[in-house]
Amino acid sequence: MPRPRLSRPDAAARLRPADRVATAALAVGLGSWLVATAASQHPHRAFDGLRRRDPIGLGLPNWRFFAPEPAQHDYHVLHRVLHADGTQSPWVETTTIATRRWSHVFFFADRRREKGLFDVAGELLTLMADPRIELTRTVPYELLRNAVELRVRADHRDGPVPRGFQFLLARHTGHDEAPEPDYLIASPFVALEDDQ
Amino acid sequence: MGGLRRRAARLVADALTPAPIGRDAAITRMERLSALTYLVASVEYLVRPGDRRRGGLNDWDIAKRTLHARMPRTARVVDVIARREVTTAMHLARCATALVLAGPRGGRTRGAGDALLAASSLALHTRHHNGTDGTDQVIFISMSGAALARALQRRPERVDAVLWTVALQTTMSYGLSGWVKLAGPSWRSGAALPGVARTRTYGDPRMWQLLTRQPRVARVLGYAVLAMECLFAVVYAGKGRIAPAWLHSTTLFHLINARVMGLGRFVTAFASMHSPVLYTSDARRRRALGDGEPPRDDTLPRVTAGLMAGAVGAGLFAQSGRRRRVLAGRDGQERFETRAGNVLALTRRGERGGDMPVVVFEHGLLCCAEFWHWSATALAEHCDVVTYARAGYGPSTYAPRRVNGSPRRTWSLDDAVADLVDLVRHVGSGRPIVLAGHSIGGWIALRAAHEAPAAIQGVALVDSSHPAEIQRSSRQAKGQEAITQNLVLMGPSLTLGLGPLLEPPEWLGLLPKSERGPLMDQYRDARLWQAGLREWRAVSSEFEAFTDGDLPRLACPILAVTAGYTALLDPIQEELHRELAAMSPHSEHVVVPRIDHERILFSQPAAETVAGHIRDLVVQLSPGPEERRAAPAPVTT
Repeated sequence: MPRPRLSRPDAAARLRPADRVATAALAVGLGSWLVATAASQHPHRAFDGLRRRDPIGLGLPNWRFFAPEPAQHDYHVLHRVLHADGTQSPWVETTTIATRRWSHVFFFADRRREKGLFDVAGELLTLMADPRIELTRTVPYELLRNAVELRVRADHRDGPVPRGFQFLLARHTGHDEAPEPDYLIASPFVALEDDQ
Repeated sequence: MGGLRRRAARLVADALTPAPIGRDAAITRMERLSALTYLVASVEYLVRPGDRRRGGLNDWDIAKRTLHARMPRTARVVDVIARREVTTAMHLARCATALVLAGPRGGRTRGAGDALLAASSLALHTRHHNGTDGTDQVIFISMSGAALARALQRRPERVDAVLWTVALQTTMSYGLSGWVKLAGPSWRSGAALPGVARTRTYGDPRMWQLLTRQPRVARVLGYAVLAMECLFAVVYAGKGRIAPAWLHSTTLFHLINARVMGLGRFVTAFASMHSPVLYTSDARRRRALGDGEPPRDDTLPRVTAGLMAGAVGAGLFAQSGRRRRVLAGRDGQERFETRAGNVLALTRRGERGGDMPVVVFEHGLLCCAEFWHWSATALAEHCDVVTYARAGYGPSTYAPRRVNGSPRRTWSLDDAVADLVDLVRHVGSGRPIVLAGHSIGGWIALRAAHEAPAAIQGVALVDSSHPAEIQRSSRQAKGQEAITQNLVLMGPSLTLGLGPLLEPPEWLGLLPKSERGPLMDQYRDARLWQAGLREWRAVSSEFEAFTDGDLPRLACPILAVTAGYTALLDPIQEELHRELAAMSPHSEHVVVPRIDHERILFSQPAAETVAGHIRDLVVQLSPGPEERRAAPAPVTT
């Protein structure tokens, strides 16, 4: 199979002053990006001043993987339902975390969702620390609420629509089931409309 | 048998000492591995459309609000990309492009394909915001690198600049990740790997059991990971001979993570960044090797080193200017030396004289005298006020006491109390003093009032600390270790000139322009954080040792002010504030509603409310008109 080849270099053009300036500008531009990246990896997020100018999040790579502290807990979303007849269901897990399999080495479609829960939970906990913010009107709260609502409606597709549900966000130590979970945030009662 | 062994030996030899890789091969390998990762990523997205519909964590109808608030024009573009058909079409286009790149097509098609995939990252990254991970960044860099390198292919020195850039990003990716891990106590103690293995999301039950039963194995593995990352730059040493072995080790690390942590995409993503490292570390490529490729141009790392030195130099230069300004202090500041040898910078306002009480403000830990601006200015319309910076803060110097040449003893709250008592006697000139303390300043003020009861005739506590708060409030106790970890790195980071990277705190805008400059100078100067760490350590250990019942009694009136949100977030705090007020038989407790611990000073209305309460206390303590007509008895100290 013929390998793709680079075209032959243009030797004469390289010596023109305009070309040298362009080459130098490229080096300075790329070098500046490297320096900016290095300056944005401090263990304290307080020094992420340059990152504010990269709202998309791809301009300045974040190399702080599992650093300074790695994730050592799982987040769980649980909910309970108030049925149409007034009875209450026990707390159940809204979503499950996939059991580790060999196939995950090649293909793991649920990886994004599990990581997504970490992202949403992290945002919610940060917002929770500010008492001026009304949590139930924030983006991460609404995303979780809708996720629970989807599950509740799916579970009760064949029967009367429940009056509503409540959900909570918990953090637990994964395979080490000995410690008690940390119950982080409990939602107020969410009423369900009969429109579906 | 012998043939198999020979073949195996040759494979190993090829892996550890490969033939020098050329530009072309480096770009193509990077491009293909990156494309493969794009392919897998897009198929994973395509089989999970529910994640993007209502109920999914990337439901754009909800998630878009964040981007619309920050960048409305970009958000409108992403709104189009986020439409179901458009997202699906983009992922399908990605898959098709990736498959083309896997094949033999050459030249311009590859460059166009690379650019398309890189652009798709930019387009889709925000749309898929929740759930993005390191691979998205890595493949964006390797694919952009490939696109740029192919566009510049007629200029080998420019291609080399691009390949060096990707290689140096890779070096930072491993290296800095390792060094930042060293700042985490879990990594240093060896608890990190078992901790991660324990999670269901990123762990594996058998690995967790193994690491928990064999803690020494866990520690050794943890240190091995740290070494492999922190020392990555070693690939450039020794003419690059160690690079192939080191890169294979990291690939093995990624393969293990793929199985144990479910991070399959990381294998191909990071492998895509390896070929530029192989190319740039190989000393053989510095010369022409007779394969038609011109020698490698190593200008880019030199330019980068120069720019880095320039940035560090600029940071250090800015830091020295900042330090000079902080030590020079503000206009009209006086200096006063305490018995301990600390020189305190103080500002007087009012200058009425007479026999009205003087209010002296005591700031909190990691705070500045300027934090009292609104309260002091409001109060200065009615009486004389003094604000000052504790030893080590702002222009005030900290002279650790040496007794007969022996090394300094550790600072304790006693030193702050002693300095305050000295200051009070200096500024009072026989007049009664009212102390107003915020946070730890409140506790210092109470102790000073206990030391000098004749001079200090009233204490106002603004969201004050209570010595039992660590023991009685679990919320306070949990925050302790984190605070120490955070503080330890601040001073050295700022000394190294990283100040400009420190974003201004969000409350800065609440203070007038005249205060913002000096405050930012102090905030970005290491002195504030060094003083804060010194005080924090002393306060932590004293509060941990505090026994209930050790609260002294005071004769002078105490006003305790609680910030509404402090009480809301931790009701025990309000209880503690009442207890502090109850140290005196003349006590009062008020709550300033809907305000937090910091804004109670920074928000002008809240600070003026506080000033109003302090003023009431001062009026209470001021001599009445009949007493003023008579000759006042001198107040003994």
